[in-house]
Amino acid sequence: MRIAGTLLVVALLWPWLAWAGLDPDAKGVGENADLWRPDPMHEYWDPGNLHRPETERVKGLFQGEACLECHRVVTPGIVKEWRTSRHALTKEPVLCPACHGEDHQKLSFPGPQTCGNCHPKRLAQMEEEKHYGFPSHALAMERAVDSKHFADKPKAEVAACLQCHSVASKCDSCHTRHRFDAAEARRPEACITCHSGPPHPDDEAFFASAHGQLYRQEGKRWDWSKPLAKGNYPAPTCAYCHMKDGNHQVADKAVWKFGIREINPQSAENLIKRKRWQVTCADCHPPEVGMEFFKKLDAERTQSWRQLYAVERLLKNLRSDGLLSPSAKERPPYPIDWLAKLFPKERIGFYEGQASAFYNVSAIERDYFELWYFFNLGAYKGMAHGAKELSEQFHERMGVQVEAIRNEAERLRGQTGAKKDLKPLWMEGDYTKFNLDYN
Amino acid sequence: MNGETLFRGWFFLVVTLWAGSAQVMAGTCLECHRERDGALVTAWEKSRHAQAGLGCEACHGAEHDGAMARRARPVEACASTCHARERSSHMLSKHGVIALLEGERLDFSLPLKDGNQRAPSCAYCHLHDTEHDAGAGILPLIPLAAVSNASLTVRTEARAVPCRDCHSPRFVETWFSTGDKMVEIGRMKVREAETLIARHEDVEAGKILARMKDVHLSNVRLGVGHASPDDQWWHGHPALDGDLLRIKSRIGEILSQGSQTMNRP
Repeated sequence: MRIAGTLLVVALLWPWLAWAGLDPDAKGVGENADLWRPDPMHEYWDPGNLHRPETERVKGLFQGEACLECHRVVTPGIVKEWRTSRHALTKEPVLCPACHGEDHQKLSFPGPQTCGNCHPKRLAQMEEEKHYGFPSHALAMERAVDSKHFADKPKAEVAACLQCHSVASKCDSCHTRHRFDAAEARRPEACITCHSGPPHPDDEAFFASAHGQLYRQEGKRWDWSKPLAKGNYPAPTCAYCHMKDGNHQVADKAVWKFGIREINPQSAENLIKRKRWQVTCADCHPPEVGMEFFKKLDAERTQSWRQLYAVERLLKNLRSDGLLSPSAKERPPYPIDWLAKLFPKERIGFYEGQASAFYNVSAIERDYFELWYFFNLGAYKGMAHGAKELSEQFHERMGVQVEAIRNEAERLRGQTGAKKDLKPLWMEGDYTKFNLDYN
Repeated sequence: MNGETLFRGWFFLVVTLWAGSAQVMAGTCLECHRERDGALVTAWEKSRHAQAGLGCEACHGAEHDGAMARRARPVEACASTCHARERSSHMLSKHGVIALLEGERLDFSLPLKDGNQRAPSCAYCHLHDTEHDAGAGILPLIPLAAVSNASLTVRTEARAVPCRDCHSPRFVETWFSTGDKMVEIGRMKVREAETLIARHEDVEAGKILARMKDVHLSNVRLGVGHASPDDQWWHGHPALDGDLLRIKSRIGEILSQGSQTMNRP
């Protein structure tokens, strides 16, 4: 009976599966692996877990020269790139099979472990990063696939997340294939494909700073083949500070981290991290300059958090008074949370998981999300990168948004009259229905 | 050599130099190039550029100095004048970053094919291999519902060609198929909003809908087309989510309060 039921479900779902190009056998990865199936594109972002080798086109075992013979015609671009790489120009060239294997039916994409075979020091540094927790390059893929909204939303939609979060699964996010140039990865632009956009405008912040301005003016002429060490560069770039001496462990100086929750900058761990920053800044500045800088950053952060907590309290009060509309019962359930299904609750703030509650919520909750996740983080990143004016601009936006939220709360409190059941409005619709049915 | 011959010589030289440096307008170019590069001109005539009245000089410049082809190939040729928004999307992609960092090392004297430039500029994909109908090759947008249409199938195939110079056919196919779905999911959000607004008219909600279509859905498309994750995600899907929930919030209030005047800003 159960088998028949499963068959029926599969038969009913088949048109969608075919449309989505999903393999019904493919399973997700991570904490919620049983709850989702990957989109075909996911295999390219997380090849270690999801890659399925190409078996239809070519059969046989191939050594380097034989690979190049075909691929200089089939995919000439990558062969040309490889020929200019150190892999090709070294005495004993690193040929295709070294990274991809030689059996064309079992080819693989090289992950950090593959690269670590020859670059063990860099791999060890990256692995060590995991001890520092999130945010982290090494843990980025886990962060993405374990997120509740990732498990909940259509997998073709959240394929957008994985291009950046693949930094954990492949080295070519920074050392682009097939040249894998260290000099390229040292340039700040190597980081900006991911370190940009509303929650982490690191690009905007760096380029607006005095450091970034100097880079913009003369960076083209600097010798990027030099290691990221004292005296080699007139101004620091992303990698100079965050990956000093080429250290692929990017987390050991992270104090305020991503910025979505308050931390204690004076904790024993953070004081050690601060010492590391002082050493880095002292490559160019007297020690007290670094100290002064951190004092200002801490003050800016403390002030921002005071502001954010006040708005959080305001929202929680609205919630206790039943003024958030739609209520949690009227909106699609908070992603994949069985407890939330039994006791629906609107999520407010970091500790209640609002980072995954940016859709299917009331306008005022979203207003807070944007205040917290976009403007606040812009203010933080501006300050942390020495772009004070940018930080001030974001503080202005925060002020405007706080004012708007207060006015809206006031208005909601002033509303009279019986409320209608909003469930039909929030549970229906092309996208909402699609997501409720299939994810 | 008598005076008259000398004068004729000078006159000829001056006229030649003047003609060479003069503003060469499309009409003038076509006089020669229709014969020399017939296919190219025919393709251009079909293009959106031609329809918009943009002639050869718009991309190639007006100096007939032997570098005309080379001039139209880098990102700046398209981006510095007309395609600023597309540029900002491309610049954040890995393609854009590599193109920027390679800078002068990119050899634009080589044709736009076979991975001759390490990273693609606008023209490498949109005007791949001398294609002059900008829009026939890489199509900016393919509505999923129309994919069965035969001419669109041809275009679906055509848009994969430039990518395959560097990427495997399976990767390219997967990229576009997921990309089409990502855009289609964006359209679902727009349709959900449209259906609601058709039932409950509201000026403010209408404005948000316009932003969904003109800005945020368009960002998803740019993000997919240029492999730019920021436009797919932060400027795309979660932004559409925000629009949709704001429209629903407004309509929710209309439903709750009947004909009462709305005063949410």
